[in-house]
Amino acid sequence: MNLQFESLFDALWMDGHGPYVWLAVGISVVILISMVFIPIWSHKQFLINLKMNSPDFNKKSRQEETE
Amino acid sequence: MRKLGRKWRWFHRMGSPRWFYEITGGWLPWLIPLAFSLLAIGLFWGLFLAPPDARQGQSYRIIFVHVPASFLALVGYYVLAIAGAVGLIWRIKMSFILMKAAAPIGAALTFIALFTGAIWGKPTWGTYWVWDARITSMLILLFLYLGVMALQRALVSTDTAFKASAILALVGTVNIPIIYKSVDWWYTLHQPATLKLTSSSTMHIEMLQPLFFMICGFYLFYMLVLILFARLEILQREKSSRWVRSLVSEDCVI
Repeated sequence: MNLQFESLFDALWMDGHGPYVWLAVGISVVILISMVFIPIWSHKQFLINLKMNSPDFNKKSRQEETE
Repeated sequence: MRKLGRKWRWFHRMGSPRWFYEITGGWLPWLIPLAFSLLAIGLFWGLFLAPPDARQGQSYRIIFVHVPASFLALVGYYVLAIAGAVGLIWRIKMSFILMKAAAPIGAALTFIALFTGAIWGKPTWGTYWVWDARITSMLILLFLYLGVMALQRALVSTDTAFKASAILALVGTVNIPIIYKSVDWWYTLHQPATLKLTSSSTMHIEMLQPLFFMICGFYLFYMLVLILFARLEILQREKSSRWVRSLVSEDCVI
C-alpha cells in the first residue's frame, strides 16, 4: 500500500477531479464537525444558564456581595 | 413471574431519561476519540492510499463519504421510525427524546449524501442532478426528516407533537424499500449497490477496506451525535427536576 500521489499538488489536483473531491469532502467534514460541536456547546451554555438562574447560585453571589 | 418482573424493570429503567443521561456520560470520553480516529484513518486511506478506479479515475474517492453518509441516513430513519413506534405503543419518555434527536441528524446525513452525490455526478455523468428514482427517493427522505422536525416544533402540546411526528415517520417508512430497490427496479444513471450482504461485492478489496473503516466510523459517529443531542434534550425537558438541579449545584459540571 503506497501513497497514490507524487506531490501535494497531485493530491490536491487529482487529475482534474480534485476540486470535486475536495469540495465534497470539505463540506461533509464541516457538517460532521458542527454536528458534534453544536450539541456540546448548547449543553454547556444550558448548564451555565441554569446555574446562573439557580437559587443556590444567587444566594451565594449575594453573600459574596455583602462580605 | 418474577423473571418477567425483572425484565420489565430493566425496560423501564432504559426508558428513564435520567438513567440514560448518567450512563452515556461515561461513554463519551472514549466514544469521541474512537469515532474520530476511525473516520480520520478511513478518510486518509480512501483519499490517498486506495488505488484509483479504472473507469472513474480519482473522482470515485467521493464514495468514501457518500456511501457511509447515505447508509447512515437510512439507518437513522429506522431509529426514528422504531422510536416513534415504541413511543406510540408503550409511551416511553426516552422514545420521544430519541426521535427528536434523530431527526436533525438524519436530515444532515441525507443532505451530505445528496450534496456529495451531486458533486460526484458532474465529472461522472456530466450533470449535477437527474430526477432518477434513487436521487428523488433520497430527496423525499430529506423532506420526511424535515417534516418530522417541523411537526415536532410546530405543535404546542409535546404529546400531540410526538404522536403526529411518530405517525409521519411510520408512514414514511414506505419510502425506505423504494430507496433500496430503486437502482434495480428502474433504469437509472445511478450505479447499483456497491456493497451487498448476500453476494460478493463488486468493489476491489483495496477500496473496500477504507470504505469499511468509514462505515464503522460513521456508525460510531451517529451513535455519538445521537447521544449528544438526546442528552441536551433530556436536560431541557427535565431542567426543573431534582436530579438536574443537583447536577447544576455541583461545581464540576461546568
